Amino acid sequence: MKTLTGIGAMIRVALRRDRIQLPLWIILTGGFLAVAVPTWKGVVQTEEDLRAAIELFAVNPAARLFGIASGGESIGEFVMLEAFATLSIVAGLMSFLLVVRHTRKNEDTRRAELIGSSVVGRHAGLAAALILAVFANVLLATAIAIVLIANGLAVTGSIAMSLGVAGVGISIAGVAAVTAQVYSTSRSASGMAGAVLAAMFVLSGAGNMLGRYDEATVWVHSAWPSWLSPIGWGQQMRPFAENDWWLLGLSVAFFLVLSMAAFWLATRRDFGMGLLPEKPGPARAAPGLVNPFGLVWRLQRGVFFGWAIGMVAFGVIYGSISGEIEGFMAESETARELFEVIGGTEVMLDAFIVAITGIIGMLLGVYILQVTLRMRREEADGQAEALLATALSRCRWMASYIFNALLGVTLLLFIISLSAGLVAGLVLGDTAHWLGEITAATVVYLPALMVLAGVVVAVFAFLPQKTAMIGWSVFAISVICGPIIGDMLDLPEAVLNLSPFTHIPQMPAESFNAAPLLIMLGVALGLFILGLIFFRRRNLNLSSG
Amino acid sequence: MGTPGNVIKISGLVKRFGKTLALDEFNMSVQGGEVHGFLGPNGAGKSTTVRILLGLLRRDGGEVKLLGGDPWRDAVSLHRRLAYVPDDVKLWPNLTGGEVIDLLGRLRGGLNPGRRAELIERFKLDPTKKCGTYSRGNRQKVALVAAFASDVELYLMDEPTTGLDPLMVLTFREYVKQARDNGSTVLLSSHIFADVEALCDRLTIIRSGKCVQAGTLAELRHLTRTKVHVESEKPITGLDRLQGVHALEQNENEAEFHVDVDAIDDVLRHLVNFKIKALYSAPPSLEEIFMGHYGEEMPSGEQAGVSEVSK
Repeated sequence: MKTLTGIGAMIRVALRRDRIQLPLWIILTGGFLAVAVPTWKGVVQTEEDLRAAIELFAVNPAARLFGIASGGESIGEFVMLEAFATLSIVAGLMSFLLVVRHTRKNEDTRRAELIGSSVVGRHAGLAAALILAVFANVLLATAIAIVLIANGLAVTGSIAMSLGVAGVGISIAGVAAVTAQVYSTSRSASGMAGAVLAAMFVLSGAGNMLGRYDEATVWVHSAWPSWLSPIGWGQQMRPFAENDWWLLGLSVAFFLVLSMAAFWLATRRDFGMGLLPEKPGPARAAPGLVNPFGLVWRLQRGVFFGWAIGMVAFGVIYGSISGEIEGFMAESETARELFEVIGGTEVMLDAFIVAITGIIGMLLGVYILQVTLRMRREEADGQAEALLATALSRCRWMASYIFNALLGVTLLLFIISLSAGLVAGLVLGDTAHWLGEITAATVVYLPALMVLAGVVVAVFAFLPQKTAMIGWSVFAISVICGPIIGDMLDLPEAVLNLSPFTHIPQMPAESFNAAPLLIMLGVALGLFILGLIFFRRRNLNLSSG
Repeated sequence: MGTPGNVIKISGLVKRFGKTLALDEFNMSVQGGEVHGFLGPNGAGKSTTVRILLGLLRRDGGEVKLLGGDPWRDAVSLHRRLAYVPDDVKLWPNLTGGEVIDLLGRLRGGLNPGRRAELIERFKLDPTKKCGTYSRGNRQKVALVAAFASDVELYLMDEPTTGLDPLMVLTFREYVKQARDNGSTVLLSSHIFADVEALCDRLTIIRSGKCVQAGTLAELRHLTRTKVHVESEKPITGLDRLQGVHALEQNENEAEFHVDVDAIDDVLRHLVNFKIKALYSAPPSLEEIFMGHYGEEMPSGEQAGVSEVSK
């Protein structure tokens, strides 16, 4: 086993490099569950609640995309329904990023050359990355199991569910080990592994959507595509009901086969190269690229399209559930109360629209941050230096980020309105009415999102090094003090008023009110102008050269 | 296109980063149509000076004129007339080299398509590769092609040859000379002596944010010692008593020493008494001039005399 010489040292180096990120992945995932599980327990307090909630998702094929209940008529199966797909994606992201970071990324940065010239076997790096991936997934599964058991869920089911999540994680680690050999850059290797993860999600979701719902047993029999995906295998284990352990073997076998394939591929390629050469791009810039607005659009269009797809999918599910919402509320007293608090109305459909548009409106703050925080990244990394040494003024440079963020978020608001409105129209009839209702309720969030963009722009002008930290903190506070979490936490009015989202009229439960929107518009414009003026006056904060 | 007079005029420039004084009453003048070398070790203030010239950083004191304008106030209109090659260029990993060349060229105010093609060919750059896959040398080439493909009055280049292989360095020098022949001015910040020696008409040496020496290479050489190696039939005596002889090493019939320019005549007169068999002398290389300012052996009094050139 000379090819594995030095693997111990490699694992130690990798562990040391990941000493912060890995615990963070695990703690944040555990923390998310620790908050979410009690909330779900609050939603389904009685057996009727549970049955109603599970039926709501089970009868609706679109809703099954995100998961299915595992059966067993316990709170556990509701947690499976709500959380399994999300946790699987988290485990998948953690795993492929980890494997690519310790393999292809090392070759990109030439670190591996230095290592390769010392007493380290050819396969030691890849083997160390895979061992670390398994270790990380076991830790993640342990954290998940502890949180579930601590919340009083069945022990066997909790262990089965968390190992199901780890199964998805190691499967993707195997995929990433292969893509790291096939592609010649870490970007492409991660991109392809991410696409495979998305495909696994879609396959499991499609299998559930195409499946058959058995009303008597409240059980979704998934169709064949679920069986092609590690996420599907985890769901078919049916934790809290059947606990079919043998399905874990599929994930382990998948991981082992792909790992062996990766070791074999590694011997068929040269150092630093992939099996596939990097695809050449255009030798000339398209006319749309050579202006600052076009450049920013080009740099973040991938992020935009990702969001657009998500918005369409979310809209379809949200629109299609709207048909059953009245029935569901009639059956579940707890859910009814919850929606009344959030939605502020006893008209259940209106309350539902208020709640969902509130979630979307606040969620899109992430997109605003993704675009505007890029300014700071380009300043710190140095691209801004090359740009601002041309005849491009600082104002135009900054304005192109502001416009991109606002245009992108406006389009996303309309995309989800359109997809939700059309589907709701199909389900409920009267498309024009629902389209108008949902669009109005969604688009009113724009001024609050503009305020968020304004905060980032102004902070960037005054405290560039703190932009990301302050930006995300302001967003987090705005969400916590905002209409949904703030209402649920019963925060005092003065605290709620801190969040721009609180001041958005909760249409259609409330009527349209232009005053707060105009004020927020004014605040946003003021912050933009402040940012533009003071960014013009400060030193660029560049790395020293 | 040659601009008469000073293209860059810096006097008493002060720049602070917090408590650190990056530039301390720094002076430099660059005349139109010259290639001006800007030498100094890392951290001496070269990049800071260039970034102030670009209006990316704000000066804390002193006067700076660039192409007749104020680099902070008139940044945008001045940038149309210059091209900048940053030290260790960072580019967008998912754009190709060709796209970046067009982008920077267009934002600067347009580039010459014929020259662009020629430069890509001469620098052996593959413009279809993504910047994320380029080595440092290739990223440097992208910035160089974008700069040389623009017809501008002034080129500001911060360590432009780091990462280039020796053949590409020759190509680079050819284009710098071509730019000068076309009447453009080039400020070449570097710590590679060979580049400065091969290209520069005049140079400024910076140390800890201060100008320690400026002038033509010949002037600077004149101010520094010549290295002499001599072999004779009779044993050489008395050299150690002569004024202006330094770093003397000798045995019976052989001696090696450094001599001040104004003492050469006296030293030669003294040496003929010993029946010289062989005599070698070499002017100091730029590296030796430079080391003279950073090494320990140079007496401080002499340095003070030298720095008067900068005024």
